Amino acid sequence: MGDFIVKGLRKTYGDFSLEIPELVFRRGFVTGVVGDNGAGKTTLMRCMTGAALPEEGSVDPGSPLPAGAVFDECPFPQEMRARQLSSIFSSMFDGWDDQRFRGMLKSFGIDEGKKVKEYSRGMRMKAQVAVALSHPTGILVLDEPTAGMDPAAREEFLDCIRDYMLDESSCVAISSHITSDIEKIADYLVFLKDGKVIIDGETSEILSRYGVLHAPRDSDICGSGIVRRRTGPHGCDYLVEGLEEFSAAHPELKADPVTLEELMILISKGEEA
Amino acid sequence: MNRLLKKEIASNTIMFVALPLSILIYSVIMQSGPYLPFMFAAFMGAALPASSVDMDDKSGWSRFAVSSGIPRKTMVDAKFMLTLVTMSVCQAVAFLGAMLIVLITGCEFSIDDALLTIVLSVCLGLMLSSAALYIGYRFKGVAIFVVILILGFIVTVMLFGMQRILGIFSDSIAATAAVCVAFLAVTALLYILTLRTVRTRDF
Repeated sequence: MGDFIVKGLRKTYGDFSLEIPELVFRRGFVTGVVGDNGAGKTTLMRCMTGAALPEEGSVDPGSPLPAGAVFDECPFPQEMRARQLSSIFSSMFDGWDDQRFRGMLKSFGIDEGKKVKEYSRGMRMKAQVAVALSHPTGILVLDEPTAGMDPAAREEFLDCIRDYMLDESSCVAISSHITSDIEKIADYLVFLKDGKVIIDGETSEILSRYGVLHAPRDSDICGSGIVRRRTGPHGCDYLVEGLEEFSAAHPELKADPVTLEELMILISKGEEA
Repeated sequence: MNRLLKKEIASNTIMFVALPLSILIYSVIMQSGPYLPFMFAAFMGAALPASSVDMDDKSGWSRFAVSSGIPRKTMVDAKFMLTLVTMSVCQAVAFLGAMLIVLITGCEFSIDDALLTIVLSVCLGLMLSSAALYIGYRFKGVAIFVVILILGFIVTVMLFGMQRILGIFSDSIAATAAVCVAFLAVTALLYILTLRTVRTRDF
């Protein structure tokens, strides 16, 4: 199985256009897709799974197996119970593993006799994950899977993904607004803004490349390395690119390592410095 | 067998009970003759596949199925199969309704006329279902279509009298056959149009 490659993709909805020259979702790794609302994350995910058809470009799944998809809304028929779902999916998917499905439901604390409409938000997302992981998949595409989950449920969910990644041929693409989840799980990051990829690379490398400088509100710091600034009610934050070089060049200014959340805010809401 | 047919039937079980029940109830209440239930069944049978497309779009099921590698043609075929199943169930129940009317009113009932009516109703129902499916996938506004369908049916019954309309066809096998062929031809055309729509639309 090869990597999942998106090439020359263009998808337009009215004024919005998603344009991806090339993106590689590597096997054996989790790739996190982050960005503002309307940045194009869901459109990218839908193009990757074939739910949306791009006007241009290609999507090479690198595997003959279908995708396992988890969306922010549970698509299963509301009146059905988990055991009925298993019966439906056994005729829908080749290689459906009923034992695994039931085992996962049990470990997630989902009562097989309960109807989907009686599930909590977290249970609905977990049920989707259980379905996605109970049949052979070439890639797991997770669009906002942890939205609305409490911290314990989110951690449990991330553990599931970690277990799934024990198989080195696995490939996961995950989008989320909860940046701490992405920081915990993603080996690679894709940062989208207005339908364009503005940062793409290894998570650790990206986070070590950038730094943040907190300064008073009326400060006006400029110099090489400062790429964006955002003035808030209580101060001014500067995004620094090349943290080591900047610290060496400006020992009087103390820049801290950036968190993914700070990076997202400064890139999407900050102005060019 | 179609991979989605099980889901289609399982997720519409409530409707499979409600529709036949309503056919029985309306047949007895209206008592416009023993052939009316068959035509009524055709309209009711068309409503189910139409509403199921709407529900699939709203719940995200269509997107999930396509994303999980289910071919788009399989999805369309499952809806058309659901139409056939629904039509069969509704016509069987309509037959019961017709028998009830005969028992209650003691009116005449001819098997030949009933068979002609059933064939005509099934063909009409298939065409209406196909139209509803096409509109559902193409315009995402199937709920309005269903309302128009039901209102149109009520108006037709009130203005012209279903029995008279049926009388025209039941008097002539050739006319019935010609109309049925026309209905089936439109159904085939709508199936092709639905496939084309589903192959090129986003979910």
